[in-house]
Amino acid sequence: MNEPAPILIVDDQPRNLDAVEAILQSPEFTLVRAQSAEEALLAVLRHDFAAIVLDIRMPGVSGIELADLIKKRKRTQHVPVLFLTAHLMDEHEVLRGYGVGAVDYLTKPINPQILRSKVAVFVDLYRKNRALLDANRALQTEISERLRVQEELRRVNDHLETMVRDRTSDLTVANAALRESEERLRLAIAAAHLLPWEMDLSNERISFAAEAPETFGFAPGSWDGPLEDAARVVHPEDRQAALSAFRGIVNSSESEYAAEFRIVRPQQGVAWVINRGRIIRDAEGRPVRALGVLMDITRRKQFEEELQRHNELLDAAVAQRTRELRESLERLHNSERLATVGTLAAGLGHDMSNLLLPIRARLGSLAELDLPASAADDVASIREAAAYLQRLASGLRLLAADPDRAQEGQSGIDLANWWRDVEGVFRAGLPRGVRLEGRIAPDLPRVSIATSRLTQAVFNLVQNAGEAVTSGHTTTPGVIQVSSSLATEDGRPFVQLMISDNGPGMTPEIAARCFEPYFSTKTRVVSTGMGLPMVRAWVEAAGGRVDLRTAPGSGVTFTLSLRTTGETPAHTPPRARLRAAVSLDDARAEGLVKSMLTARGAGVFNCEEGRVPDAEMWILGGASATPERVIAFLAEHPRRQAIVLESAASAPERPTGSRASPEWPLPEPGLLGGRVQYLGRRPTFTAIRGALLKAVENAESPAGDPASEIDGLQKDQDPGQSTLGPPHPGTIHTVPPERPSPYAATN
Amino acid sequence: MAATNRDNADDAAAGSDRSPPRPACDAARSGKADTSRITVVLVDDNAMLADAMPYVIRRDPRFEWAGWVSNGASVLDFVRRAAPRIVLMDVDMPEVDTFGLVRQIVACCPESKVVMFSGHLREEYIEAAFDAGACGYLHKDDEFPSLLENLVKIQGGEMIFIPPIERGM
Repeated sequence: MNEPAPILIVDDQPRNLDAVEAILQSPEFTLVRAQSAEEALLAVLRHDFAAIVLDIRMPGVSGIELADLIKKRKRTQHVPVLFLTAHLMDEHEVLRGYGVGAVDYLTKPINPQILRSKVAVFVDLYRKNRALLDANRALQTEISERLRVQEELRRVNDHLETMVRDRTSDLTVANAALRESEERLRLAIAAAHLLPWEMDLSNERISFAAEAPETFGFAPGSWDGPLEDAARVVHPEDRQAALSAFRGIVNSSESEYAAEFRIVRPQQGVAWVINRGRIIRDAEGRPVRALGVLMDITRRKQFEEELQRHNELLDAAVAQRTRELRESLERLHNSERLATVGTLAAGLGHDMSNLLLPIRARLGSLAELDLPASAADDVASIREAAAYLQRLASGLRLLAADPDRAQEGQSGIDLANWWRDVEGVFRAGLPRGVRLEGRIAPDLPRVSIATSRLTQAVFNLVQNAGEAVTSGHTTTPGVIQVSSSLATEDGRPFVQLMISDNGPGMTPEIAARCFEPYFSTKTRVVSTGMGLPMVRAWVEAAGGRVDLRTAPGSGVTFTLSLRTTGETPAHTPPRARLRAAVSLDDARAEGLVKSMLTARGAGVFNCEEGRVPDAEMWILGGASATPERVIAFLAEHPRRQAIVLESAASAPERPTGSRASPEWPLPEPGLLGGRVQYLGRRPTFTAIRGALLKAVENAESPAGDPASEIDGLQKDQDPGQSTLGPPHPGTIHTVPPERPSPYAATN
Repeated sequence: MAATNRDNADDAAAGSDRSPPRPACDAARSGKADTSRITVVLVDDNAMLADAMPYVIRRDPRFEWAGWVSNGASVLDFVRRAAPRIVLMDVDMPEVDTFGLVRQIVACCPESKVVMFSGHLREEYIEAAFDAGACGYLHKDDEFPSLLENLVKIQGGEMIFIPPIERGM
């Protein structure tokens, strides 16, 4: 059953309203009354009417105006309006009613049947409209729901597609990675020489990858079969342990197995392998299978062994270095002590000399006086004692001299004289009760070694001997002998200086090692710290040799074989003396040159003015020094040497050095074998001595004969002309190699 | 350096004399300078040496003792006044620039020859001595006759510098 449709009845006359109400009274309708336009508008706002029955004539707002207002509202514009009129309307009013949207009209008196019919039609229309609206609304809801579901479907679909795409992509990547990983694994297995195997633990049958036996030189497949058979290739010493280890793991709850053992190869000896495996068990934990790899680690083992060997060597070297360091620290300590002792000795020697000089001076005066015999004897004794003390002072200074700065004397050592100087000091350094005997022949050839080094070397040996003869619990008094003899070796004369003692001697082991650096024994401490290696180094540096003769119980004899200078102090043979001519106008330089040359044993004479001297060496300066004369002198003999000094007074000064200058058009030193040396004005002591030593060495050396240069020199010499081109003052001028030198040999 | 209380340079130059064998300046003592003799002045801080050196010098008639100066500051003045042929000079005197002093003597008294007289035979001293203008370097350990002969030679124009290398040290 339909709901009653609401009908609005509008009339200003309540009886008209009653009449219409009576006509339309029906359960089909709900009637709403309104007596004015205002009431009607309020009702329209409140209800949704199926039709409006409207009196056209009303005071105030007329029915037509009210209809117009209703029709203007959007919500009510389609509500049908049925005008009621009490009289016949003119044409104009009817048109107006329709113009505002009235649907129909009825003239009063109202035919109830018609009214009901018309209203019924409106209600039916209303209801149909409502039904249509409801259907439409339901349809809209349905459509929007469908749209929503469709949208949801599309979204889910999109998501699914994305997921599929992603999964596909992941899968592709994973596939590629898997392939790569498999490849890598394959390569790694190949590169690491991993040799896979598999074993059925129910019967202990093992099978290897084909390359496994091949790797070790066995036939492919030869290892497959029972484990016991396969294990035959394992080194016998390792076999049992390897098998036990494997079976131990199988029978335990563990699953990882690893062991290193050796395989005996058919060729190439033994190979080291590491075997790793995993035990696979069933649900009850029973071992089912084993999988593993074998790896050849022979090279690694070799490296390890080598490393081990190197480590041991390194350890030994470190130990050795540590020992050496400790020893050298001890030596350092010792040598510091020695340096102190040396300084003390030098100071003592100096002070003794200072005290002895006045004593010697007064004794000399006393000796000349006419004294009574007893007093003269006393003076003689005191003089002897002073002389001894003087030698002691000299010996002390020789001992204190720095051996590293020692230079060999040009004239050599007269050993007999030397022994007189040093004997006292040597004796003073010995323990009480030890006797020192010197037996040095008086006419030995001079020996070639620095005096301080010889002194320190022999002192060292005598000190060692002193300790040796007092070290044992012996009642025999200690005796040390220093003696000399002359020997010849390969036709060369040697002076031998022997230092012997009657101590306990050395064992062969100690004798063999006593010259080694850092070697020392408790029984034979090198107390001076200089040690036998230094003794030997010094003697050998001077061209000599040190020999040792010893045996347990028969003492020690050191023999120093010393090179001789070929001169004996007693009768100096007139060997070819170097002749040196001097013509200098610098008196000081001349004095020093003469003094040095004379001390060196050269024959020195003054060269006459204007002459070219007959000598091996010419030291000239001032007016006498002209290029022509120097060249004439040098040309005479290929070994002649010239030293040119700048005149003390002349100007301008030539730069010092071996070179030519505009005033001195001499060839470069190279062309004359460095036979001319130029010294500047007022040369220093060092410059003069350096030039002299070099000239003496050149004059005496049996070096290459530069005679051919001299020949050319003589032929081409043109003294008046500088042929070396214009040299720059103060620079070293050199002859360009491509320019023919006027001094070069020509035919 | 403190001058000793006896026989210092000024006393010697002034001719103070006491009984022999105490030495003093021979020229001052005798009242006249013998120009044929080699006059010697000693510059040394060692009084004992200064006491003894006249015995050595006077033993040789070729020489004449001209006095001793111990004070570095007085040396120039003394040498200028005494004008000795030889100034025998120690190398290692406390607070004295020895080689600077040698240069000053060489510059102001060219007639006097400076000869180093030392207990040290050190090469650097010997070189410095020559380069400063000294005419010799003699060792205190040398025998006196040898010392005097060398002084004669130096007076005659020779230079006697025997460095350690020539002495084999």
